[in-house]
Amino acid sequence: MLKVQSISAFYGDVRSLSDVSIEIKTGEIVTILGSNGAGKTTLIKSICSLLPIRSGAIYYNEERIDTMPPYTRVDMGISLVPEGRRLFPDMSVMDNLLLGAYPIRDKKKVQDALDWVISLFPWLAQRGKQSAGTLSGGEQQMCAIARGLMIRPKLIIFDEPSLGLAPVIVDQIFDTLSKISQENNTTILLVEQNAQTALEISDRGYVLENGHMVLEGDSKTLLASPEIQKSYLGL
Amino acid sequence: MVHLSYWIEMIMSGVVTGACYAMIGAGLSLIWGTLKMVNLAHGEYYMLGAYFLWMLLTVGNLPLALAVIISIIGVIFFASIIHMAAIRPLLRKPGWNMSPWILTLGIQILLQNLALQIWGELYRNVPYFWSRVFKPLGMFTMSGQRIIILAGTVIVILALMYMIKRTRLGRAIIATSQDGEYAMMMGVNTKRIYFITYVISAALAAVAGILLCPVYSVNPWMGSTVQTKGLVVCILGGLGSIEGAIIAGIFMGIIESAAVSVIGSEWRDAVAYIFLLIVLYIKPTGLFGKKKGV
Repeated sequence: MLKVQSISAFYGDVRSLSDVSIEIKTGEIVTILGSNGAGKTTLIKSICSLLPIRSGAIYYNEERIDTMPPYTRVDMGISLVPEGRRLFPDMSVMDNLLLGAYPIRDKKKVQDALDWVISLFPWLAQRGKQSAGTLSGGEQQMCAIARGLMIRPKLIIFDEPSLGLAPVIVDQIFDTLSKISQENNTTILLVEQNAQTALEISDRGYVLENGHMVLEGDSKTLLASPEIQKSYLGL
Repeated sequence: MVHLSYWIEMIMSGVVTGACYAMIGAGLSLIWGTLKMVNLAHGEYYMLGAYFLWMLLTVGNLPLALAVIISIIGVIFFASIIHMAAIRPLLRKPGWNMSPWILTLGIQILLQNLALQIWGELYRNVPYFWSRVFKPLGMFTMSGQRIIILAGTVIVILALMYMIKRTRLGRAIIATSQDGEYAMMMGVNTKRIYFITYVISAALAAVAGILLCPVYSVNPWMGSTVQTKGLVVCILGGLGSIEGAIIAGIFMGIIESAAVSVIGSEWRDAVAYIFLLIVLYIKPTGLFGKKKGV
């Protein structure tokens, strides 16, 4: 479904990705692990065209997408749930959700999508008028996920969904992710530092270090591998 | 009774001028919030709106309604060209914190001198749209033109607020102003939003020019004072806050009008700026500005 073919990218003059390749098949949950500064966010920004890549190519359903502008992603069915939740803080929860459905012009379809995300997170219904910036961290994350689901994406990318959240909420969020994946056959690309939880729900994983892909494999194999246990699980 | 009617008339006159400031300020605020630039050529769209109307009415002999519509379309067309040719190539490129000042100052000088070349320095007059004079309650007089200015401003501002708060386009504009990068990830073509915002603001200025030109007169420099006052109103209301600019605009109109009646007309601008200084001293983010988070 998504194929990243040996891309390199720079942040300013610093090379932050070199020769990175990943491949995700339809229906899979794939995790990308890496510590701070490993190039995870750069990889996501490259996939979304928010950062130009210097070499390599990115294909989505056999179509080359790295040359297309960022706002075309949602039309293809790719949704991003950004790092740090990045809601539009001065807009209401409802406006944030409606913005998630921006490419959909059919009002009925928008309402259907709204009903669906509210069935996933029922509390959203009562909080629609509240401005998004005043939600708690966990609520913001759920609101961001709900917003990302409004287009009923085929591929949804999560940038560190567990960052800064309490373990109970993290569990709740990852449960939702596996539910979305199972019920809708949505492909999920998960970028995380929380190796244990992420690998438990995913099929495969990649490990980024200093902009290089150093390890890849089944989630089970990765969980058992000594490198992962040492660097990410503290065992 | 004479005394009271005097005050009412003064306030009404302030509200009318304030309505104009509100429209100019709202446009500047919209541009500031979305494109993150100061548009020093904004008053020139006000001037062009007035000149287009004057030409269409006197030279073209068109009926008023048609002349108004064509004038607005003309300004929109003009603003589109300027946006495409001059602003888009620099937009959000390195140096964007400085380049709009120089760029739009240049456009201001260019348009003013162009107007001077084409139409000359003669002050032109546009007849009142509605020449009746009203005496509501028998207390104060109000010309039909002023009623049209007020009604027109209210309609335009309500339409603007509805568009921003309630429509898909409005959501896209707010999202772009808050976080352009992630607005794009929601599918918003931010370049198009920048264009639309710029043109809407220019149209607001044009409407103000068209409504007010019968009360004042049409000349190549009429945009400059309005431009400065628009910026003051923008800062007073809190940069980027459209509601703030509207309320501050009307407020400013009333204060100026009061200053003229109480102290004298030469103090008009001084009082406006002193008021701005006092407000900024007490509340540096402006009357309705929010403290920006990280």
